[in-house]
Amino acid sequence: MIKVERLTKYYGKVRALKGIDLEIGTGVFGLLGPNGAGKTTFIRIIATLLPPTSGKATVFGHDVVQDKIPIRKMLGYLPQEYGAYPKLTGWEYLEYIAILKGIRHPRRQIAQLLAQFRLTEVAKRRVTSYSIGMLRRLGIVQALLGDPKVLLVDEPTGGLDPEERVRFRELLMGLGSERIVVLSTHIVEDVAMVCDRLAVLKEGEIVYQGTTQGLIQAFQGKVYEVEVLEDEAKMWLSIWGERVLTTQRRDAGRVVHVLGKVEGGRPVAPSLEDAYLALIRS
Amino acid sequence: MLWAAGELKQAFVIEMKKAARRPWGWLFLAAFSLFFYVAEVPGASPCLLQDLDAGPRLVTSFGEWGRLSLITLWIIGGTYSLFVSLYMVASLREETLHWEPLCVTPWAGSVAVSGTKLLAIGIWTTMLTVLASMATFLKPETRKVWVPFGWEYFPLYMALLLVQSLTWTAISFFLFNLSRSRLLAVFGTVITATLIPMLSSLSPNLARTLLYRSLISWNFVGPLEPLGLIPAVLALQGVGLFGVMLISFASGTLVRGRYVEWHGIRTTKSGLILGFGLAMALGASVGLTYDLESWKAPFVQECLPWLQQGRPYIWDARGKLIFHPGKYTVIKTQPHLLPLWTEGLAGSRELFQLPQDDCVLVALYPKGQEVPPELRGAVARFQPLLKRAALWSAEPRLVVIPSGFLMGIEATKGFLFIPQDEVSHSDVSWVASMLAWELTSDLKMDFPERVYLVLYLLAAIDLEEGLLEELRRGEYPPELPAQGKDVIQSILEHWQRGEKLGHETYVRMLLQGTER
Repeated sequence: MIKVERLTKYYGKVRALKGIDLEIGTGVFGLLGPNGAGKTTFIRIIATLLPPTSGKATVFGHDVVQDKIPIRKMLGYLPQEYGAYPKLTGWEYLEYIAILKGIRHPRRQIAQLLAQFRLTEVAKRRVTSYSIGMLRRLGIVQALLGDPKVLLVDEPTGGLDPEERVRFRELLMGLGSERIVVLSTHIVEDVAMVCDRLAVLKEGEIVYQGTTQGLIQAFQGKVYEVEVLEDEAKMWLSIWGERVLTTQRRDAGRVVHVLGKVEGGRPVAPSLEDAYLALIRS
Repeated sequence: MLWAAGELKQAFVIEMKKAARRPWGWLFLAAFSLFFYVAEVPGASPCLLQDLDAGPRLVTSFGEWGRLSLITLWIIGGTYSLFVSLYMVASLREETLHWEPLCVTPWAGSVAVSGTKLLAIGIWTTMLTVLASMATFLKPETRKVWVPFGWEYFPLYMALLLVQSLTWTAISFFLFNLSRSRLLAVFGTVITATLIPMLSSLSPNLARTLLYRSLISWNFVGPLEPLGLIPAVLALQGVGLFGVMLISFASGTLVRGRYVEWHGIRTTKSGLILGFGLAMALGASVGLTYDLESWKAPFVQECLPWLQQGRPYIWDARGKLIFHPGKYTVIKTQPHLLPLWTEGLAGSRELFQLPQDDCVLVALYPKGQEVPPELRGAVARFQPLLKRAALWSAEPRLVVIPSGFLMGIEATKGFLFIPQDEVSHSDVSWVASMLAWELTSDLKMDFPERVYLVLYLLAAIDLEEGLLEELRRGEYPPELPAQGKDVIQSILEHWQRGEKLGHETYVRMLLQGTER
């Protein structure tokens, strides 16, 4: 269990986190928010890489400031900007990380994970020759080494092609069945596909926490769909301004989802993306 | 037990692989190889203290090979530290670029992990250095004099070389962690390494010069004294440098704690290492200074009243070498006034005496070993020349004297005293000419005849042709003292007669005075 109470983080005078309270249990937990909302700061604090300015965060009862080593022993972490040692092969890099994690005789585990993530064939190649997708997979392999009880993944699908993204989501779902997985992202689709529960961060504050269905439910009846001609689209979008949630091309015009009642619009069941954007913009 | 030996070994192997895959490392190898091939590396003999030019030397044995690597890298510390530092900084830079997955592991901040990195880079750079120093064996003249002696000291020299490399590595580690600046870490290390040889010149006095000379020459290690003039000082220097390495390393791990990602890492071990390093470095410095100072005599006399001294001194008050301790002992003293403490030594050793002005050089050598094993190959170059001299005297015996006692080669009563540096001098023609000149010094002959005899002796090792060529051009080669130009013709005539009659016959005739 990850438990966070009144967690605050300042960078100089900038308050990145504003007294967050949160509890995260087993399963895949989504941390959704626009860029700069404080997601990475939150993840780094949980990962013991950054001390909070005030408040408290514990992982299975261990304080992130006082008990770094016990927490690190149960942690797997895939950072947003991930790069491995360019001088090493994938295999050597994983061996090195396994050593740093204190894993005894890690070869079998490395081989299994490499096979699971379709990296066996490139394991003996230098990391510099890996594609972004391979690097991401290598990143998740290193995070999974030692079978961690807590897995933190920060913007993991960036740079992945659609096929790899789908596979990655499936993988995260599988991992979440027996451990805590925190998925930090600004891609709503990732959370919609993978997470049961989520928290939405906006400017360092949690503006929603609960189930994905709960978030959708909160905006039931508040989202309207309007079809507009392409020629008039620009005009309408400027009139509705911040209320516009999503737009989609259809035939000669566009289908626009708008927050709140609009002339000619009809109420529709909001998607998670609609609900998230509505929340952020409200 | 956080780390088992197996994991530690694996981490070490990975660090070595990282180092080996840096392409610019091989450029350094090529540059160092070239340096070792062409460099005129001075010896480490105590004569360095008197700023005598020992001249370029050949690597004559395993022991000399180790010493060559060790001392050369002290002398070119600035360049060598740049090489070591670049390796260390490149490795640390990678760590900071990929710090997140690394720092979130439980043991990334441990002393064992950082220590493994340091050790790997230290061993790797030492290996490259040894590899580069092998370039010296590409020289045919080195291969000619090489003998497989002194190998038992080789590991010791390599260990000292490793400590030297580790020290530069640790200083880079400290500076990088202090500043996170690659530039400061690299140039800080280079400046530190460059400043050390300048320390004595900043405020020179004999004690500091002695200390400095002892440092850069590792206590004057050489073929006659593989463990240095004062073995305790060699040990103290190693311990002191190791202490500096520990201080730098521990300080590096401690200052690293300032950065957010390294917050909260336990510092107990680093503190212990720091304390241990300080104790080692300070203890060694005090011991080193005291030990060197205690071997310096309070008097400056050229000929010393040894009998009045209850103990030997290595240097006089001006830093002049007066006593060379060890297996090959040499003392400069008044004639027939050997100090009492030499009696114990004389029992099991051979004693040679060489008059020098008002003094006498007394050399006590192991019986039948007037040439140390490591120089046997180098001395063998001159044996045919010595054999030829048997025509007018018993075949003279070569006695290798520690450098700093003689300015050149000197002969007396069937012995030729040759300074150690001259034996392994790379210019064989120069040394052989000096030997030949000295071998003809007692003969009552005029100058052209003597030069002819010198040429005859040099012909034993095929060195006469070059000299003859110069004489034929009407010039005196630098190896021979110059006389008038008309004398040259006379020398050449002697040579022609020798060719005609057979040199040995002609030499005998000259010696018997038939030709006069």
